[in-house]
Amino acid sequence: MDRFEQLILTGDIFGDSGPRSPPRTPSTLSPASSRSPSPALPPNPNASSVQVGQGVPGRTGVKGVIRDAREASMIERGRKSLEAREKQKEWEEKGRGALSWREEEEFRAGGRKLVRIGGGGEAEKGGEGRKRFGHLREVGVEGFVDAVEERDAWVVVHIYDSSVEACHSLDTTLALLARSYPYTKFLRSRAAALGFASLLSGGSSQDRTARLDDLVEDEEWEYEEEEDEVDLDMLPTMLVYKAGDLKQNWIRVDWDAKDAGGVEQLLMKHGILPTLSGKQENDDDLDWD
Amino acid sequence: MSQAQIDIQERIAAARREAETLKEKIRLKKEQTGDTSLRAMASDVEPLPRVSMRQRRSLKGHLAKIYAMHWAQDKRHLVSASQDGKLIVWDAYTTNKVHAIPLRSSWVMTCAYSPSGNFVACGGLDNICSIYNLRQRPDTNGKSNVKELSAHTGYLSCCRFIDDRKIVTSSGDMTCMLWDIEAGTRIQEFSDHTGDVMSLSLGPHPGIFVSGACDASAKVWDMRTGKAVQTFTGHESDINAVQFFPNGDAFATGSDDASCRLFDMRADRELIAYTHDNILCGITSVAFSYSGRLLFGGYDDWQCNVWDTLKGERIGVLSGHENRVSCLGVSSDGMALCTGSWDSTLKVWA
Repeated sequence: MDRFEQLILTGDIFGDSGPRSPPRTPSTLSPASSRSPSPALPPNPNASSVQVGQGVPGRTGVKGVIRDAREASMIERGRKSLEAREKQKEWEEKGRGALSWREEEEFRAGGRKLVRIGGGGEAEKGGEGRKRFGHLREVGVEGFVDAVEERDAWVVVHIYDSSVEACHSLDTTLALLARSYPYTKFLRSRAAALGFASLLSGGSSQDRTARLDDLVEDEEWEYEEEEDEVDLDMLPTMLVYKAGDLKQNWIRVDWDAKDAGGVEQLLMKHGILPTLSGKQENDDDLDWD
Repeated sequence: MSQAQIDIQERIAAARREAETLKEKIRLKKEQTGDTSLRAMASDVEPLPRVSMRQRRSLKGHLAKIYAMHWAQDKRHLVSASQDGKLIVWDAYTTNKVHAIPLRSSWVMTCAYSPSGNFVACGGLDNICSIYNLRQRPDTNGKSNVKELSAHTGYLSCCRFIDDRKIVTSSGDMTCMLWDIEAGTRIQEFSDHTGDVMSLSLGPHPGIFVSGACDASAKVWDMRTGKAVQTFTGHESDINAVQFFPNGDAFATGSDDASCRLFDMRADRELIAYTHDNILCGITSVAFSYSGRLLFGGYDDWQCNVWDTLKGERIGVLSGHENRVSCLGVSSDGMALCTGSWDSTLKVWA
């Protein structure tokens, strides 16, 4: 803080005159703040950012503060996910560098111009006109619907939680499969973020204040509790979509995979991954339930 | 189910039935003593002259919505807490800011001024009651002028000083606590509510206080024993605010059911409900005038209604604040009413 500012804020600029207010303590928003607030509070709205709850009915008193804090954390979350999305786009735009094995093979096979452009987003048109993927992508609750609505390709979604061991090995397997099968889309999503298999926890005051929102009709928004308790016994779970329809739903896919002799085998058996002969099941009347 | 379990279930059911019959008996006995209503008794009281209050001062300085305010006992100073994360102590006569205290968390729900004028306290979503010494500047060698009382597991909805040494707090964890500020410890814990405690009020009678909670009940507590000596039901929804009547024998409550009610401790019942068909939103702050004849209610739609306490009629609306009232308080000599607004100003009325 510069000297002039300091003089003004402490009142010293006017010389010694009368009672003063206590000098400003350093801003709590600075990284040097010694104590992080507990419990996890939504960020303090500083003067420059948008103010919350001005004039909205239902925001007076204690409950008003709770509702304002909730709105502030929603806004913050929206902002953060926007930032994350932009960062991801930027990263993709910078190009992915090295080619995958498959892509090199195709190039070596010759006869086809390599269509590898940095600005292609998450998929590029391969020579056959099909969308190419190639990575195990993370998806959140907001992008989920868009991500699974793929007209032509199969979409394999892995619902995970970082505390489940089986999810880690499944992630590794899926990442490899994603490189090997570039025409299949592989996604992963945190169970807690989706609200998948959430356990209902009752009685805490946070939950009760969540119910208070029902009293205010004007502001109905879907408030997703980020930290819902998830039934970890249900994970890992794999969902398979085709053209936006759920085709397969494997709760504890690790059990099914074990029976089939591996995740790849399981997916091949159900016609989701192309078998070695290159054929892929697109028929709807083969029901593998 | 084993025989023992069936047995216990039956005993529980029997005990419940007995409790119900006893409750019914008490209710009938109470009804018998009710020979009249407050409205009937007040019918021959003279109607109030027109209440004219004008805005006398406007306190500008906060940068965001005012969440809470409290007058000091010297009738001159007041403290206000705002969403901008500041606690400002004002001189209401001159509109000067005497102190501006930055808070760690902007989600502050309550603020209080000690009777001596030496301390102010605040608390909110951080679950902590922070006490600031106004007579002492934070030292450079580390000794700060802040005391943090941390033991609640829920948000701090209200706090009130008994004196420079003791403070009572109410919390969203359904308990109230009496603290020794110097030692930073709890003296007494008051747990009997089955919902978040939203507000408390200290009255002229020492040793007791009243609290209102989301379980639609108001309880009167004995500070020494920690027990709820009286419980008042009658509201249909969460009670958001309580305030003692000036003589300390009654108190008013404001609730989400769009009514304020007056409960009398000696009669052990509700005396009157201040409600109107047109009023649909909840009340979040209440304050009595010095005589107790007027009750000011701050509503969720940012309006302030003024009620005749005895007759139960609405006298008027505090206009001029353009429906922006977020909190209010009457000074201890009854000379002024202060209202805080969502447009970051406070207005003093007289």
